[in-house]
Amino acid sequence: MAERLVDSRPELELPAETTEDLYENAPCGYMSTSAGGLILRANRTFFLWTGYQSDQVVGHRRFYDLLPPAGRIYYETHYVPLLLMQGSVREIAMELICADLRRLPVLLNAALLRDAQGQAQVIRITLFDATARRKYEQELLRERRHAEQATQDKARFIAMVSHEIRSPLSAIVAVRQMLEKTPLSQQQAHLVRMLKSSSESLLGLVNNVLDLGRLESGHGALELHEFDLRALVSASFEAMRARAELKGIALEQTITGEVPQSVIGDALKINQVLTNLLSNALKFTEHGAVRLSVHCEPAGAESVSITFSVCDTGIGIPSDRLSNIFEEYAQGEAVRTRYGGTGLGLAISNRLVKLHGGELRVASEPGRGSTFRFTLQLKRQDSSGTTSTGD
Amino acid sequence: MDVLKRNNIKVLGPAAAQPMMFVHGFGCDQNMWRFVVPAFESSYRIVLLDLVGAGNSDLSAWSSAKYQTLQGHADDVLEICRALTLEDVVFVGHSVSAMIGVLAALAEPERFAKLVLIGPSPRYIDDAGYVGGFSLEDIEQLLESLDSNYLGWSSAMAPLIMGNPQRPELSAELENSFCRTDPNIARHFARVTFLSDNRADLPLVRTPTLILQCSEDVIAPPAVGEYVTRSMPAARLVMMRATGHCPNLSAPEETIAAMRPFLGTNG
Repeated sequence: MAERLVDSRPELELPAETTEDLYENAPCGYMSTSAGGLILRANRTFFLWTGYQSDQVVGHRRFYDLLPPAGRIYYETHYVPLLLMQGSVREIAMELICADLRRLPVLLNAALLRDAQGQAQVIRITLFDATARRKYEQELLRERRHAEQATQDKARFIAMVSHEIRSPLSAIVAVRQMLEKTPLSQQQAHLVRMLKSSSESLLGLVNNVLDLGRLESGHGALELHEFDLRALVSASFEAMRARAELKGIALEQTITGEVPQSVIGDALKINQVLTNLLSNALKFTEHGAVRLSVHCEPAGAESVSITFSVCDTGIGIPSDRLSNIFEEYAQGEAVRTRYGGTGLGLAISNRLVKLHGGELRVASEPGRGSTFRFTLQLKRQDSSGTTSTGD
Repeated sequence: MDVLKRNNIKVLGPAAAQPMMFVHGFGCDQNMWRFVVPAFESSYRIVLLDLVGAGNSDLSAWSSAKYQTLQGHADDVLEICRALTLEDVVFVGHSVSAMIGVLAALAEPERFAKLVLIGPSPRYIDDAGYVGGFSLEDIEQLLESLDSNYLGWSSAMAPLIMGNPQRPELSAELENSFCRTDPNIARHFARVTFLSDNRADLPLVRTPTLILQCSEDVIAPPAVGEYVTRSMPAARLVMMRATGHCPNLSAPEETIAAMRPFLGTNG
């Protein structure tokens, strides 16, 4: 049993604590209005905060008379409908005009009390001083606007700088190509090869940064036109053949299902995705094979569903990295050091697939290989001219 | 695009009856008609909708370009009429939707039998020789207060129950649909609504029109209701005893009683 505590001055009496006291001096403003909003009663806290005298408002003013014009619109279009329909509202942010015309930010709760017949009688309002909260909200909004603006400015700056770098860089690549065709000593040829690899990787990086900037700013719209699906797949495939042969890796392709003659889509962007996925697959595979599979299935009378997959027998991706692999710069540091690259390729591919309404997915097992897959629904141009293949 | 899904269409009442379409105003959704609709449900084919961007409409269908003016919403109303093959329509529009109804009736006058405009205002901002009730500065402040409120709502996670709400389950439903509004869409709609000026459209409407005007309405003051009535060739005004801007909620019986004589035998 708890020990009873004894005050050092036991003769002190607890002061009388009336409901009236609690009402008048509560740390919030209380107000009752008629159903039509006429102020019938308010507590001392309310008068203290606003500076009004009781006889200035009670029986003389409607609640909305204390609101600035914007608040009155909000009152009529949000507060009143909600109060009448659900019987109460909570945490409505408003400003009250005080006696000295100062504006007091408040949070308002209200309940509508009805009589036995269901007729609205009294609205009971509780007001909380929201000065500090309003200050933080406004700071938050201001900071958010700043942050959004800063991000946009940065993106514009990066795009501009990248663009400026690309022109002289293209010149360096062209000069290097011309240099290659001149008689070179063994050492010079070695230096030119280094120049080739560095300038090409730098050009790739700049192009990726520009691509991503375009996609992020919403300028990566699709350019839809008719194209030959087989020709596109084979072009992406052939472009990689030399690299595969150089590395001693088997490169395979299959097209199955009902392949239409031509479809409507953005061939350049689809090619960019396939090239990126194949190039990654070759980069991360030392032994075995890289396979590009394309499977077509009819989707309704006018469209075809095409699943592209690029499968390799490379190093694979650890499971903890799979979840953010399509984010920018997600490539691990160790991977970048060993294999090179910008870490932007998959982020760009993912966005390009999304532009077409598809989703890029990955399945992988470390040491066994990875499969990247996406499905696009494209309109077929020639509903009659399909060819069925089973190779 | 399924327009019925886009505007969260609800159809009630006998299928063969004359259609009566209810369109809510700024800040609300189709829930606001709940006290008025039962009176007409047995004799009209009732069509309820949420404007795109409000209530449970399909937010993915919203675009700032299409809804840059009220005409975008008026086009939606006409599309819904076509999708449901509505003819001889009684259009009931509250607040900003009164002007949406005016624009729809101008575009396809043959489709509409009657207009009931509750608290209409063709222009909210004062102009030379015209009192709308607000200044441009007032409207800018409204947009700010919207920012603050939607921010407040989204952070008010724990329900703070006060008094004795008649039906608590109704609260959640309403709050979900009222507060679902994307703050950017709400701001945009507020801008489009309160900066609109449809005064020039009013004299062109030939459809018989009933104006329901509350006696004390800060959004659409009585002088505005009188202006609308004067400007429309086939309009009549009923000045209501009800105060405020939402008589369909605060005084549903008076609203229904004011509509019946105008609607005639069907009412």
